[in-house]
This record gives sequence, structure tokens and C-alpha cells, in this order.
Amino acid sequence: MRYGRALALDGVSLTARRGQVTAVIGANGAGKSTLLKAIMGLVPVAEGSIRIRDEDRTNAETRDVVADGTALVPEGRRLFGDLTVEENLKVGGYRVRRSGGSAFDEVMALFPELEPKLRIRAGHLSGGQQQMVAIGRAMMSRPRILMLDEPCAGLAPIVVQRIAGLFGQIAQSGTTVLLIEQNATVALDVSHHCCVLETGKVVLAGRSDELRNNDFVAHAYLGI
Amino acid sequence: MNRVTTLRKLTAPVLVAGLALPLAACGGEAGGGAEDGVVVFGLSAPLSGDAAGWGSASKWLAEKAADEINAAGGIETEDGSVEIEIVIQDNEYTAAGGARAAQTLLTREKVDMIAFSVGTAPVQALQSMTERQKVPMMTSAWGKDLKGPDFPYTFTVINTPFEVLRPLAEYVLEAEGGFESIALLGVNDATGIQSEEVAQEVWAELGVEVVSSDFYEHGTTEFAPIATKLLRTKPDAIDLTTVTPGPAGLLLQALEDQGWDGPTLLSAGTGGQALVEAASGAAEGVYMGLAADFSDTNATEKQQELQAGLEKATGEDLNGVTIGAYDGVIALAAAIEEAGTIESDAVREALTEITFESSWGAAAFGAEDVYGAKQQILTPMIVTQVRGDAIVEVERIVPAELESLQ
Amino acid sequence: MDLFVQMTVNGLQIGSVYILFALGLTLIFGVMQVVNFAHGALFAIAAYTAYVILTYGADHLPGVPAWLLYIGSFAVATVLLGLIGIALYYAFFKRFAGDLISTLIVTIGFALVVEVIVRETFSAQPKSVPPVVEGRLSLLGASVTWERVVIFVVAIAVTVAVAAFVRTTMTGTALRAVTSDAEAAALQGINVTRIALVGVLLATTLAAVAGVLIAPATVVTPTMGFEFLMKGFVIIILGGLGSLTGAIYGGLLVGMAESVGTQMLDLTTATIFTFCVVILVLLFRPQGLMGHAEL
Repeated sequence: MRYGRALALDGVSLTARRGQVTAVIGANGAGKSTLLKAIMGLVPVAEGSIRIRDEDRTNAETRDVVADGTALVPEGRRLFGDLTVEENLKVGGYRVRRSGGSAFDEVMALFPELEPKLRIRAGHLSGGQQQMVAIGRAMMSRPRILMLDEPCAGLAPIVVQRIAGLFGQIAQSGTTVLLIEQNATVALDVSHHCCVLETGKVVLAGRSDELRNNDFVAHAYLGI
Repeated sequence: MNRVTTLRKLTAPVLVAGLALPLAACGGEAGGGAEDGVVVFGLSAPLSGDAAGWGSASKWLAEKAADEINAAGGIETEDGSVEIEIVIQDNEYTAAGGARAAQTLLTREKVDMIAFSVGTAPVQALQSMTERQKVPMMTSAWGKDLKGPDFPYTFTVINTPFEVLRPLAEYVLEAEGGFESIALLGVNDATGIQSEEVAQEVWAELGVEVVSSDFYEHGTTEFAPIATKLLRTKPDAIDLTTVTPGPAGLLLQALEDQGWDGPTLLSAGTGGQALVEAASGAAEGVYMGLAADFSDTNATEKQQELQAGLEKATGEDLNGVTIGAYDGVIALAAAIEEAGTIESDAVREALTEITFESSWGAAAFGAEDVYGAKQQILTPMIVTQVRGDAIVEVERIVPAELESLQ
Repeated sequence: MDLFVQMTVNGLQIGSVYILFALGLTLIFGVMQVVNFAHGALFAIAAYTAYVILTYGADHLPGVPAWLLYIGSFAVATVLLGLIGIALYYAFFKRFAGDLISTLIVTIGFALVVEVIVRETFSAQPKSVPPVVEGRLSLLGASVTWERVVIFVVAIAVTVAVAAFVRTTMTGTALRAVTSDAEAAALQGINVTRIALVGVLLATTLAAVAGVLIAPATVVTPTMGFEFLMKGFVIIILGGLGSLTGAIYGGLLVGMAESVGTQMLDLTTATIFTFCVVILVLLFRPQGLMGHAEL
């Protein structure tokens, strides 16, 4: 797969299981964000193909990918800062307006701390709260596949714990969760399966608890 | 961003600019220079902005005069007959635009003479070159400091406030049964300021107190506050000197809204019909000194013909300024024929001596007593008044100097 | 006392015209981040549309009342400007979205082209359009035409309607989301092109309202767009870029400053005075009256 002129990803094949959290770890420039953007149809795929649940989704329109049940929490959260928290969530449910009511209740159940902040501009929230809004916004479209790009970057450890703890909870309700993380410790802790991406190639894949004891991973990513 | 997308991003603005420029500069056809059998007359007039209508009218009128002369066999000189070619440059009605137009006309197009030029500021820029290069220049610009022995190649081919204001003021004073005070308003540019100076002088000499004198900025769209200000000094009369037809129309409406019904003048205003159109009824009774109705039967046959042709071709009405484009070409052609050559000093000399057949009938250059040299065209002056939708001629004054020549 | 009332009335009536013009300008900046020099040109096209239809109506349709011709003018102008807006969007805005300099150059170029075409078609002579409503309202010794009152009322009504649309409807919320972050909006399943087109059509409709309604209160000339545009930019910067209520406060403040300045100072200094007021406000509130610091 080519992104612009540079080869960003090369023959990457990922399997993420329903009801489980799959993590992708790798250093900066390994091609993780590009992979997610390509899946969402935000960057053109020059060569190769993207298949989601056995359907060809190469270069699909982003709105069709969303309508089909794939949602992305982008890197850096990318909230609509001038819009209120409630409006951010409503925009998240843009594609599925009819079932918006129950999706909204589910998000509120997931993040009760957002309830008193609904009328506040999203740009005025703390980093952790903003990340909750970003995840909630993605959940509003009731995705079958939820992808998160560096959701824990730049957050305080206690907030990381709070947010990371949610991934398993979301997966349990039948959603496939694909998590991209630079922080390998967190990624391995919360995921069931994990794969390691280096310079556009999958170099290692397996169960997270096994990978934690892998010498290569321990040395390169966990700093042990 | 890579180079391809940068280029693509640049394409559209460049395309738009490419589209706009030839349109904005239309009329800049190539001149041939002083070739055998051809004399090139240059025009410096606004083709863009507020006063663009004057430029397109001037172009049509000058070309019309040239066509008439060429069709009759050109101008007879000692070296055989020469045909006239007209070249026009946009002076944007600004000093900077005037300097650019002057450069292009004299350096690149190498015109032999300037048959017409519009706007005090651009004309001053042009004059600094024409006088140095000894190029005869016909102009519509007024201002005493443009003419005189120091500027021997400059000739004004329309009546100016210096000629018109006194007879106009005297007429209005008498027609309105006398008044004691007047408020003046002009546009804040070289033309406006010089005209208002003349107006101040004339009204003071006639014993009318000037209670206020103001200048508004080009681009003003709202005139209610200016109307309030004019009325605050409770003048008996108002003179809008150089206010252009659009703003004058809006101002007259605002004055009417605020209860004004006293005598009103547009002493240096030129576009009569345009004023009537813009004022939607509020121009009733306004006196003008330079705004004859050239479609009226009082106008000469030639002027009626020019008015009809110009209106058909450009949508503009013939006015007291643009008529000079026609007369400028005629005057230069007559002087060349008299001199028998296109050599500039001979032509300049001839201009001060000839009597020629202008659009007004017989005309000549004179007014040495005012300007110190014979550089001002002598034609009848017409005082007009708005009555209903019409510009009615109420007084026609023939200069004594012109009468003595006939 | 009379002078005070007249100054206030003058300020209000100038302000009403400025507000109506500035609304479309601030909206397109707010929702599309485009410095839209084309707004003046579109406004002028709408004014000429009203001129053509009303003159034609007066000559050829003697039985048709003026108000009907105005509604007709508004309908025609809305469609015409909408089509131009769509063309501009696909030709330029879509490619240069968020690129302030490129959109600025493109829209200035467009405005110049329109000015030349209009002048070649209608000549540079000022045209006048008869008023929608006739008569004057006398108020404590000052007077204002009913026409200005109508403009003022419509400006307020349009602001309320546009604000309601942008703030409370799902499409309006999506519009603000697209402005805030187009890629993130796409990730929510929003059809960014369609929503941006809604924004363009909203702006062209506002230009049509302003052009048709202001035309009878002013003279219609090829350069009218540029003249209003300069004031418009001053007002939306003063009010806060992109803020609808800011355009109202900005328009009123500039109108009042002009009205008072004209009486107190000579006219040239009064023009400078208006800009001094603007600079003073921006010194203390750099984001404008109703703007918020983070854009």
C-alpha cells in the first residue's frame, strides 16, 4: 500500500476478533496512523486492497465506511472545539440519527462524568475528558469495529488507567476494538492480541500475554 | 506539499488574473508611432473604477472624431495627408495610474500628441512628461496651476469652474431672488479641492457667506450624516460643486428626507441625466454649470448626433467633460492642418491662433487674462436646471472673447 | 436635542444597511474560513438583478405591483447567485478550503471580472431602483425612510433565522463541525462536500437578500460591491470574525461612529475617527466584540 510517494505500508494483514481488543504497537513512522486512515478512506490506497469482514473496502468513501459500522477515534482527538460536548456527540451519531437516543444513553453510561459537562464547549475540557468525548463521539455511530489511534498519548497515568480500562468493556459488548498504541505496556495490558509493526511490515503477532514475555518485545518496546 | 499540488493551487488564481487583466486593460491596442501618413493621438482616461464611464465615452468620442476626419481624406499637411490613429490608456483616475499611463503612451506607444486626458491628478502626472518632451496635450482637467506660460503645451478643451462658476452663480442668485449664505461640499481629490477653492472665491465676491466647506471621501455609500451636517449651519443654499452623480443623487435624497427645499447647485457636476437617474426625484430644481443635455434641441446638431451615437454604443450619456475628447481631436487636427506639419512647436503655435469648428460650433483658445496664455477653449456656457426628468437649458452665455473672434 | 435624535437615527439607518451586508460575509468566514471578496460582487449582481427586473416591470408589466417584482427579483437573484456559488465552490473553494491566501486571491479575481462584465453590460452610469416601501417615519423631530426601517427589521430577522439554523438544526451543527475540522467531520460520516455546499448557498442567499433589499436605498454601480466590502470587513473584524451577533453590534457601532464623527469632525477626519474606534476596540478585545479568543 502506498501513501503519497513514500511506501508507508507493505503487505500488512491484520486479524482483529470480535469481542476482543487487538493492539498494534510500533515506533513512530511505522505506518500505524496511515493504516487507520487508509481503512477509513481518508488517504488513497495506491496499491493493494483493504478488506473489512470479507468485503472489499479499498478507497471507499469515508461516510460509507462509517455507515457500514467502522469508526475511528483519530490521533489527537480532533474534537470540534467550538461545539459543545453534546453537539460533538450528536455529530458522531450523524449517520444513525434514528437510533441516536439509545446510543447517547449508552455513551452516558460509559462516561457518567461527561453528564454535567454537556453544555460546555469541547475545547474547554481537560485532556482526559476530551478523550472521553472523542471515544463517545465514535461510539455514537454504534460501530461494529472501533479503531483508536493513540488514545492515551499525553494523558496523566491515572487518566490512562481510566480510559484503557474501557476498551475491554467496549469489546465485551460485542464490538471489535483495534487499538494503536506507542505505549506498549498499556497496549499489552489491555489487549487480547497484539501485533508489532515496523517500517510498514508486521514483524510479530500473537497473544498479548505471550508477547509480553517475548525477548524482542521486552527489549525493544518495554525497555526491560 | 509537493510541487505538483503547489502548481495546481497556483493555476486558478493565475487563470483568473489572466482573465481579468486583458478585460480591465481593454483598449490598449498597439500604436504605430509616427509612421509615414499616420499621426497617433493618445488618450489618458479612467477605464476602471468609479469614473470608468468617462474613459469608455472618451474613447468612443475620440475615435468618432478620428473616423470623420480620416473618412474625409485625413489631415492635409505639406508632406501629403495623414490619418489619425487613437490609442487609449487607463489612468485609473489616480496620480499613480496617470504616471503609468503617461509612460506607456509616450515611451512605448510613442504617441505624437495627447488628444484628451481626464482627471486632475493623472493629468498632472502626464503633464510633467508632455511639457518636458514638448508634446501638445489636450485635457479636461481644470486648475489654474495647470496652465500658463510655464506649461505652453497644455490646452483645456472643456469649460471649467473658472469659466462657468461666476455666470452660473450670478444667474442662480438672480433666479432665486438672492440669498445670503451657502454650504459647500466637494469630493476629496485634486479636482474637488481646486474646484471648491474657485467656488469659495466666487461666492464671496458675490457677497454670499460660505458657512461651511467640506469634502467627502470616494467610496462613501451613506450620506444621511453628511446631509445632517450640511443643514446644521442653516444655509440658504447648498452647492455640491464636484460631487459625482451617484453620491449626489443619494445626498439629495438624504437632504430631502431631512426637510431641505432651498436652492441647490451642482456647479461643477457634469452628468445631468445620471444625476436625475440616481436621485429618484430628489434632484428637482438643481442648477448645473457643466451639465448640458446634449440630446436637447438647444444642443448643436453635431452634439445631438454624438449623444445618440455614444448612448447607443456605450450606454453613457454625452457630458460636459467627455465632449472634450471629440473637440480635442478636432482642435489638434485643425492645428496640424494650419501648421502644415505634425512638428510639435508648429502645432502648439497654431493652436493659439486658429478658430476651428468644434462640437459647439466655432471655437478658439483664449482666456489669456485668466491664465496668462491662450490655453482655454472658448465655447458657449450653458446653465441648466433639473425639471422633472429633463435637464432644461435656462441660460446660454457666449464668452465675449469668442464673440469678438466671429 | 434634535441633532442628537437625528444623529441616532442616522447611525441606526446606516447600521441597518451595514449589518445586512456584513451577515453573509461573516457567515462564510465562520463556516468555511474563506475571506470572501466575492461577496461584494455577488451583492452587486443581486442589486443589478433587482434593477433589471424592476425596470423591465415598469416598462412592460404595468399591472404587476412593485412588491411582487421585488419578491421575483429576490427569487431570481437567489437562484442566480446560488448557481454562481456552486460553480465557485467546485472551481475554487473545494480545492483551496482553509487556505486563506488562495481563496482571497481567487475571490478578488472573481470580483474584478464581475465588475468589468457588469460595466460592459450596464455602463458605469449609476442606476437607481425604486423603493420597496415609500414614505418617511418622523421620530422626535428626526426623520427616517420606512425603507430603512424595513432593512433593519429584515437584518434582525435574518440574523435570528440564520443563527437558529446554524445552532439548532443537525445540518447547522454539521456545518460548524465541517468548519472546525473537515477531516474529523468526515470521520463522523458527514458528507463534507454536501455540507460545505449548504454553507455556500446560505452565503449566496444572504448576498441576494442584501443586494435586492439595499439596492433601492443606494445607487447601483459596478463598483458598489467593493465600497460595501471595505466597510463589511471592518464590521466583521470589529464584531468578531464569524460571529453573527458580532456583525450586528459591529454594524451598529460603525454606523454610530460615522454618524457622530461626521457631526463632530470634518469628513476626512470622521473617516479616520471610525477606524480609530475600531482600533480602540480591538486593542482591548483583539478577538472582536463577540469573537472568542480561540478560532
